[in-house]
Amino acid sequence: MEKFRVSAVLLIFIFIFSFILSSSLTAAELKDPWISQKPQGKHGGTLITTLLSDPKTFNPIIAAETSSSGVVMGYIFERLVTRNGVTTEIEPELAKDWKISEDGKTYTFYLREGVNWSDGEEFTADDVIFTFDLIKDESIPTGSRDVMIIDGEFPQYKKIDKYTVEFKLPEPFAPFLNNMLAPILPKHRLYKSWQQGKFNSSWGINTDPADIIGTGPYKMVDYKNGERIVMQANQNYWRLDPEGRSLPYIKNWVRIITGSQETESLLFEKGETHILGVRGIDYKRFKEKSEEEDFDLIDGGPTFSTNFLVFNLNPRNPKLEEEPWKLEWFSSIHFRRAVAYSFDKNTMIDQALAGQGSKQWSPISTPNKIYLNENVKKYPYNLEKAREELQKGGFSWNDAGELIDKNGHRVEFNILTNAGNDVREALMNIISTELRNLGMKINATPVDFNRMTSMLMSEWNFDTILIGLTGGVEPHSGSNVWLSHGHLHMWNPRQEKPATDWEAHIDELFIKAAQTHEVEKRAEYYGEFQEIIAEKLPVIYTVVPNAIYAVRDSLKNTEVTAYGGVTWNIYELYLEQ
Amino acid sequence: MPTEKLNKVDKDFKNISPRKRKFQGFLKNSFALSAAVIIIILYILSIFAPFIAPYESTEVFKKHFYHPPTKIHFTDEDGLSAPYIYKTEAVGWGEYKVDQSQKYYLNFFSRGSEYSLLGLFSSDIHLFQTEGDIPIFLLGSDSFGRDIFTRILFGGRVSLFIGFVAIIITTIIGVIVGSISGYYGGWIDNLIMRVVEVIMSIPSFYLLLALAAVLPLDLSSAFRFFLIVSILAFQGWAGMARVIRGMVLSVKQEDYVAAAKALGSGDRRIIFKHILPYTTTYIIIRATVAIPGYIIMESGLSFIGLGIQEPSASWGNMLSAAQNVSKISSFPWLLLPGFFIFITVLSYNILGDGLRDALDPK
Amino acid sequence: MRNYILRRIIITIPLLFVISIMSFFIMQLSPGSYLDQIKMNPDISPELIETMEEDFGLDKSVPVQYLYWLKELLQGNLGESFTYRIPVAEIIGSRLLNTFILSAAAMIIAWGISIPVGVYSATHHYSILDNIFTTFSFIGLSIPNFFFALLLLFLIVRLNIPLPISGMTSIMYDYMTPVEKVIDIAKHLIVPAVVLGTASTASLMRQMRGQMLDVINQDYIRTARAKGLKERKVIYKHALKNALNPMITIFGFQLSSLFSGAALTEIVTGWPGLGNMMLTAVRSKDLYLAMAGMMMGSLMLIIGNLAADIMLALNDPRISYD
Repeated sequence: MEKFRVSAVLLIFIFIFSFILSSSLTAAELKDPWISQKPQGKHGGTLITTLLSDPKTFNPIIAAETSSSGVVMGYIFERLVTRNGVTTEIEPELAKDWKISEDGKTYTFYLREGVNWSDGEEFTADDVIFTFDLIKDESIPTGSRDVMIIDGEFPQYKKIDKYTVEFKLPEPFAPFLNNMLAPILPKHRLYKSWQQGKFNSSWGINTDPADIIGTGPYKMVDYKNGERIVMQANQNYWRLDPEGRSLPYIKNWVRIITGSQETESLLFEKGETHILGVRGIDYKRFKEKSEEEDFDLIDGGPTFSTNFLVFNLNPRNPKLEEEPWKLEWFSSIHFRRAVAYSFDKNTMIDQALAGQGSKQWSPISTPNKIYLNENVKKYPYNLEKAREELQKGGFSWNDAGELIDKNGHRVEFNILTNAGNDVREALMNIISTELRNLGMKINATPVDFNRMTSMLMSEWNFDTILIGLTGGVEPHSGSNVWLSHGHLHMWNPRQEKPATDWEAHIDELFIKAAQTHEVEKRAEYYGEFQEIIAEKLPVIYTVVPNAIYAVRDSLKNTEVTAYGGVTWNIYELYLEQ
Repeated sequence: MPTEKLNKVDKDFKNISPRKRKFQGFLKNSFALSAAVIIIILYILSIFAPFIAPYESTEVFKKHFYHPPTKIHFTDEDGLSAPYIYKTEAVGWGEYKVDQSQKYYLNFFSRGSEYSLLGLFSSDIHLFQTEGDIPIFLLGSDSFGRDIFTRILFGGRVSLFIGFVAIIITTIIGVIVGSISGYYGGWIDNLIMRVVEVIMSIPSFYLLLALAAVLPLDLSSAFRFFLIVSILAFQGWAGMARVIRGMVLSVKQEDYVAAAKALGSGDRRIIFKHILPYTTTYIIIRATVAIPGYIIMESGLSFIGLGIQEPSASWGNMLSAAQNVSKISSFPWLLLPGFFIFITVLSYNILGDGLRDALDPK
Repeated sequence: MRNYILRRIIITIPLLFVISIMSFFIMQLSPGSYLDQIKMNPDISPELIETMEEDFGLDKSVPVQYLYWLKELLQGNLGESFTYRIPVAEIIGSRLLNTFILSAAAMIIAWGISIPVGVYSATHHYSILDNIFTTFSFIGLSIPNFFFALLLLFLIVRLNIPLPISGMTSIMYDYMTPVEKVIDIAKHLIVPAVVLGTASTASLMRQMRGQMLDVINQDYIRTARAKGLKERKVIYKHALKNALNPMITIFGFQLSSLFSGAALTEIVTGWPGLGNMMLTAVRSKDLYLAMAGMMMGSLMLIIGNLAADIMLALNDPRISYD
């Protein structure tokens, strides 16, 4: 703790100095502040947290992986709207309000007036237009573009006045608001490089941190490759504390890049960091420590990640020429149900997640309270039931207890998963042990991620794969996976016409849900979709880890959730000295 | 990694001078002798793993994960007794309670799962098992409830033989290439030595990394084992070839080789009959020093996830599964594979040292 | 002598060329490319992936890709990293330096300990201390160094030893005076350098002891002793100088093993060096970054070996180089 104090004193000096410098600029007057509802905190201090790996870029539009976007999104760059870290509902951020026309095709966003970029320039509609120009530009590799396209068209957008932007959609599209979670970039900083065709390499990790400008609560001060990122409070920030001073409370935020979870735990244990994502295996030890030491263990509940087994139901599987019966097995609903009944989720939680996890039954992530349907069909572990289902499907056992199909073929198939993911390798081991108990011959092998991807996406020559996807709040984000023509429709991708009635029905439900604005109505459609998946089992879900955080007692105003973690409301957190 | 030790052999070999070894020398050799005995015991244990181990290497007891070593009792109320154990039951995550209501005796040479030994004959007799199928974990169990004792025995088949096989391949290639290079000289020599230089100039770890990434992971574990060995050998032969070449060069000048040549012996005969015997001592010593290096390399590869894949066991992947402070402090028996690596490598090093003294050619 | 050095340097060029071909093709042997990871992202369309494939030149055949890479290299351009989208040189520069610092520190530890201990062991042959040193050196040789690193970190945390356990500089580094900066880095160096140095120390110690023993038994040392020279002078003036000579060759070899060991140590101790970066680059198939790492590693090795040879040449007039 001594270290913190010394660093704080030094940094405060630096802060005061830079404050004198920056206040000489004339910033626009903030008209629409946001005022914290949390108890008034103390300003100052340095928060120290860890990051598992280096960011790959600071350019939030290009950032493709969480190691990059997790560094800047919401902290340095902000969006028109955001999702609340606790309720997961959409809330105003840079747009103070918005209006949706009667026909659901026109969205008007009213921007917060007097918000400043961290270099003192004012944020206006021009920046928003610029950002969507970037997203629309096909030469820029960004994940934000595809989701914007509705019915083959990019929505029309225009500036109404300095603080108003309007979007016109070709047809009503409810998930559109979710797309407004794209980060807004400063035109005055990036326009030139975009015009010169250099946007893709702008704001890479070699950029001078001082050049990276956002509207968020923090700005970049220093980045040392493989070591740390240092961020400092943005004194122009538009969120205010109850006393009317600019937030955030915490002046400096240092994020140490550790490279391994083991080091993260050790650093926290040594008292050098404030927050730690606790792994299941470490839970017991940290629980015991938290009783005596200056931190609390908070269980945020299940995370948004998913792990599931997918069957290859693709008739285009080249391996079917040799073993056509495999498709027959996998297509049998009884066979898939039998597999579902053999999933011992208690053991999975105990062994793969060290006791800290939850069972998953539905394709919507468990903590997604708005859309989760908890009443889908469940398949509790029961090998007797599994055997019954197999018998119904025409399978039987020979004298050696081996499972054979009605034509006498021994049931034998591969389960693959990506090597290096301990949880999935453990799940695979547990699943195959149980399937072997049913008399199946299972070859379970971890493979390279690259190899698994090409089998899944282009070669289609696998039997079953254990894989995971990270879900978001908006179910429509999964349309690539669930719609029958989607390229990630893993069990049978890119179908010209839905192969089964239930796949056709899911396609319909997704379209209907996208065209409806009422959340209850949408939840109903997606609820039905979840029932179909649980009933038809093209994928069988396993278990998800719980988000457990160790948080120092000195960090106040926290509201820890699986969705937002600890730092989603970083601007109103403060450190007690 | 082994290069530096190999080099030590290379250097020592040229610089060994007679040493007086009387009493102390004997002491040292008895050290080496016991190291040799330990190594032999380890090899025997792993060769006969299916017989000695009570279970198969992948057999899981899913209700008994992270189970501490089972206590074997040799005494009861009446004094000495046949060895027996008590049943345990899970009372929380990774916590177990002993149920002392009933004794379960160990059955020796009893029937269990079937196995084949060395591919020669099959049997279902195991050294020991327990009554009533109560699981026994001599050295505890791992995160899936697999018996660590069993897995150490089976894992030894990988870890102990990986170095062995690698050094055989290295030696064969190294000797052949080295002697061809040294014996014929000229452009062949030049070409071979350039190739050797290239291989020796790539940092071995990076090369290993790139090569291991090439291996498809969905190979059978036996084949993968073989490929990993090949990769290790791929790097090892270069240094070997260089030294053998040097030795061949110097022997070539000796009179008896010239005499053999004059008598019309074929090249192959000269190489095998007259030149290679000169290098055997060097090869034996080098092998003893190189094997532990390969064992450590295998554990390093496992550490970064490129070694032998689960569910197959190797000491390296068992040890890397224990790389967590919580595991080490709550379930310390998970470190035992590391202890086996340590003992093996240590014994090999001591043996190598002893051999160097004993086989000192001068 | 100058000719010899010049010739060695010239030989390096074709050597690097062949290494580059070999590495490039080995790297391309494994199936798939960098883009496979992006393909799994539901938000990214297949069209976009095709664009990126063209951008990166991954749609060309491997030999064409190699020639393209070579052409750029000859113009002094190491290419652009797929992952970071910035020139490789900017990523690799600081990492190379860090690995060099770590290796150098490990080497200083290894030589600094092993030479005096080796000499002591040889002059006090089979004494208690000699036996202790021998035992330690065997233990040092027998622990996988990633495991040793983990044990050390565990101990530091448990026993509350005031040493940093990760990274290379502390948070306040930028506000330190130059002297403080050096001390700060030195503190961070302790764990990785000790881990990395241990195996080398152990083997060097054994070798130094062996060399020294050999020399002590030589006739001229006995003569020197017989002449009545002081023991200290015999040992340090005559014996040590001769025993050190063969150790220089070892220096070159040692570089290679240090390098390999460094990568694993860096990964465990979070040292921001080349090995850490190489691991991710090779795994994610960030081709040009991995190639650059490979080439830099090779170059360092070649230079190290060259330095060893030159040192040997300077030290031992008996060896001729023509």
